[in-house]
Amino acid sequence: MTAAIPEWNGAVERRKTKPRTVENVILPLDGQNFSQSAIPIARELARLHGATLHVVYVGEQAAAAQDTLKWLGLKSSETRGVVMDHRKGNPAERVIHSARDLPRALIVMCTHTGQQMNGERFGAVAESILLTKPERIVLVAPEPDHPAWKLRSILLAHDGTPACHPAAGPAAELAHLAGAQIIALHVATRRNPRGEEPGSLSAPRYVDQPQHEWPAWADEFMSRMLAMGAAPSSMHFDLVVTGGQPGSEVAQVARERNADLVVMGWHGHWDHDPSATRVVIRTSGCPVFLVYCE
Amino acid sequence: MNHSASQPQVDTRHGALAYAEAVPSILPALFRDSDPTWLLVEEGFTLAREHEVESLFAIANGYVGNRGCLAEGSALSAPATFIAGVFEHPQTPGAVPQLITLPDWAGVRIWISDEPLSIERGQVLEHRRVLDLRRGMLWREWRHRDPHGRITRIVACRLASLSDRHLLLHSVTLTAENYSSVVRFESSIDIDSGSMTFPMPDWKPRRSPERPNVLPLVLRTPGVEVNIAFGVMGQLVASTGTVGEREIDADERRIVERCEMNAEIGTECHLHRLISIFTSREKPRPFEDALSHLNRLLPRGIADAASSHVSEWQPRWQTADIEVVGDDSLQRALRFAEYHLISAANPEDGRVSIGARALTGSAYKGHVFWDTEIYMLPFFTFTHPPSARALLEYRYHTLDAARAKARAAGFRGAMYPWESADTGEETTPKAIITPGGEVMRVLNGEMEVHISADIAYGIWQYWNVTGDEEFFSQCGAEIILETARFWASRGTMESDGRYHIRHVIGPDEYHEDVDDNAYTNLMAAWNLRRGAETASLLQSRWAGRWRELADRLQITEEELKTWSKLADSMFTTFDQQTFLFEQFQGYFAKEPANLKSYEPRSVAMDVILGHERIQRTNIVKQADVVMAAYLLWDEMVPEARGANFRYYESRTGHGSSLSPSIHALMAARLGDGHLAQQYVKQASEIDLGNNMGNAAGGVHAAALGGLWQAMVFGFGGLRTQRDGICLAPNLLSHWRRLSFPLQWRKSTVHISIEPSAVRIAVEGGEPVRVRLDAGSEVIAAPRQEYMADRAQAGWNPWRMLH
Repeated sequence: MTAAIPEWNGAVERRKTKPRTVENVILPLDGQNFSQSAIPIARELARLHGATLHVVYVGEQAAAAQDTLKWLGLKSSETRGVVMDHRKGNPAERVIHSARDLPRALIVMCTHTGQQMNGERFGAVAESILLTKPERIVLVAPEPDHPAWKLRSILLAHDGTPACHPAAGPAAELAHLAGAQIIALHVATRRNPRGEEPGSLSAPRYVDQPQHEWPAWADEFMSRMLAMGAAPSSMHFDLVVTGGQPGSEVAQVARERNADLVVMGWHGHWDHDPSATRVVIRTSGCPVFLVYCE
Repeated sequence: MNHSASQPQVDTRHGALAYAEAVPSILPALFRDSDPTWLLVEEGFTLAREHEVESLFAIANGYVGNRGCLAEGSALSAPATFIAGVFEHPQTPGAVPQLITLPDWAGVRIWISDEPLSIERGQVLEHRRVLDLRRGMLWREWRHRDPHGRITRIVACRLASLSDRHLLLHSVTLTAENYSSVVRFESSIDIDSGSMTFPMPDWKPRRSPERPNVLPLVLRTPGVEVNIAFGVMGQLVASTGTVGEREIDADERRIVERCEMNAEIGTECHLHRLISIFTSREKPRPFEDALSHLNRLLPRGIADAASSHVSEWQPRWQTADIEVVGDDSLQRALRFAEYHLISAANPEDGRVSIGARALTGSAYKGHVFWDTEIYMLPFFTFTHPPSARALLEYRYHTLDAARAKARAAGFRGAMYPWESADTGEETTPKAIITPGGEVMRVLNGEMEVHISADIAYGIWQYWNVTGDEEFFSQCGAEIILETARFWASRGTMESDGRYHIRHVIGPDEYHEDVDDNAYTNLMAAWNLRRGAETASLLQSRWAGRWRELADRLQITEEELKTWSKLADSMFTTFDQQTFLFEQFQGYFAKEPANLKSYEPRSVAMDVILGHERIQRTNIVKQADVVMAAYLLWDEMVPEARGANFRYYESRTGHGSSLSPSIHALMAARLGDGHLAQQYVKQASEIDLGNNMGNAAGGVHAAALGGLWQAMVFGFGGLRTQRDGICLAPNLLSHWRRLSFPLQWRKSTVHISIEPSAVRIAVEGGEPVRVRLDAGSEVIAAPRQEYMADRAQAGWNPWRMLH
């Protein structure tokens, strides 16, 4: 059950577009093949935002520049405007420090590099970074190659809770910058454990007359998301509602719709629905942008 | 603008003195209830909930409704005012009429020393909205520290007058708690670009600060010729008597009024506004009417207008208020329900009805469904018959459209539309884009035909309860005859010797295009019998009217006999062994679904399973056979009531807000306290519970009416008979008392039920026959009180108390 409600044209007084929210893109590399999967995504996101790309790599000794590039899997042509940031110490801590030191930073990295993921868990560096609840992070599952990644279609997954509204702003901003299509996806679950938070809007309990209820619900959903997510008023969203398990459903829609990026609000922990966000990251076939929502 | 305040120039000829003297700085004390069961309170401010709050706190009087939005607006505010019966008719293909959203008249922005006062800037020290259900007034209390440390207290109220339906009142009191500064109030009414306007060349704004002003604004609704006129007057007055400066900026699309004064520390500044609305629906010259209306009100002042409004609410509650002692939460929900029902109806206008969301939101486009006659009408029939009559008159005034619909579909008589607006024509959208994305035909307009019998049922009940013979003979009878005639043409007499009604949708809308829906067939048979009975009544009691009708409608004796025969031949699948009705042909063969396995859930079953899948299952959307068992209680053998309730209740997903209340009612009647309690709680929380945004588009008016019915007909056990009423009480164990008034013919009957006794008292001119649970009966005389004690089995006989 997947498709759009394309006719939504609800008008709402929206907040003005904020200044660009990303000034620095941090790309951790470790010389493993998998880590290179994140390079085209980081480059493109830096280009779209007009941000500086920082390649963060960790080693005890600084090597010659050409040797470093070769080790990281970078071509010389790919380093124009790139800041090579050599750090010593624990890789995760170095990346975290970089993200804290640089204003308006976005981390773009692989979920794991050399080793296979152990069950649902990502690589040690990614897990350590996620534990610190970075404000924004793009995770790239390394299996599919992204040699010439372009952002043409964004899928914004939204569970209807107010905490997820902040994801709308970055998604809309990226769509605006890239001229990309943006689809808002709500997966109607039997019961959303967070759905009783004040201001939550889940799929309706009562659908008295579908011909009226669904347009009204879609209007309300989009009004809340845009107004509270500070999305630009000029941005057009298609709204899609599906039923099923949130993680697998988001991933499936992302694949069906050839999404280039999934944007999700993330509560900073995995406990209330241990698998949904991880399932999306692992199986959607595209990078996933997590926006930390308190 | 001159910031210096000026002293009032008393001009009694224009009513300025009375207006200024009536400054209601004591309005809160005078007009605010202290009993929490009469108050709906929203503490704080949650931006995401704003649309829900606006719906719940809406004010209305049956003519005009206004959502309870913040006066200064917010990122999610959706201010809206609606007038009953004023629809725009979009010209885009596939579009259907919708209630027009009028310009916001309640918007007032405040500046303190040229800094806007905003809930989103500075610190909110207190904020609450309070709906006084008893008085029909919306209050807002807001205490705010701005970024400069200035603390401002705002107390505002607004109302839609019940005593003068064209009048809206808005009062804002500002107190500068810890500062002195210039304060400015700006109110504006803007017409959106989609509406046409008419300039008023003769009008000149008064700029004198001493006298209130009258500001005209006229717009024409798109697609139809209805002019709407606003008259507005406002005045800023300090508690010291100082009158503020006024500046007016007005053109044909906009009225802006700015008032300002020096607010001294600790003093109050009152902005009082009266707004008058008229349309060309009811008056040929609405602009002149709005102006003269305000000029008439001016000498009496704002406090008088508020008092009149409050006084009008009092008798409405005296004939409607249900008291349930032992459950404050339910008590508040009941008053909330009755408040919105009273607010929704206009007894003075028989050309409008109540839409699914009443006048509280734009969802459902103001369209009228069976909700009105089956769910809301009983409340009015039993508490305020003039409102009930007006609602039924709407069906009489749209009878020709129903006839035209029947003709167009190849039938006879009157086929009422599933959805209707101002003209009575079918307004159900033809298609919908489902949440699954496919374009799906909406079949209800063609197939959900039970509404014609529902309307006839409402008329019959109204007539029986009120004894309004004038309405019955002049309007109601014709509808019953024409709907009976429709049923006689809608089905077919088939080779099995039974009359079948095929290709319909019953109340269970999960199953479309079914044959012989039990509810539809039972109600159609009932309608056919009442059609024949109506003809007989007319012949015996209103012979002239009968001759006129029979001649005009060309009704023959032969046709009347056919109606009775068809009713007797109506196909049903009633099983004498199980006492079950099959909901429609083939229902019992549907894929069984275990609803319990989907619990807990907070979304409708069709969302979970999808439209196609749910049609294959036996999941029922809402009360269908159960609804028939309720409405036709006395025509069903007792075993069938319980058997069908138990069978279908366990298969019902309650995907409609109309469902829980009827299940509460039936469970109560059948003595299942556990289920009754569960369902009445669910029914009472449809708008008020944490329902995740269900009410954002307006309150669920039918569900509110259903809740009233659950209390009176379920827990009170009220049933009506031709010669009186019958009570079969079923209180929940934690209730100490349930009491309610009801209108019966020319009397008011006060009923009070306690666990061990029932009391009744009749007020009015005629004795009332009251039966008690198939036991004793009494012909209760006016001004006497009677009581019956509970016995070991049933009740002891009635006895007079004094």
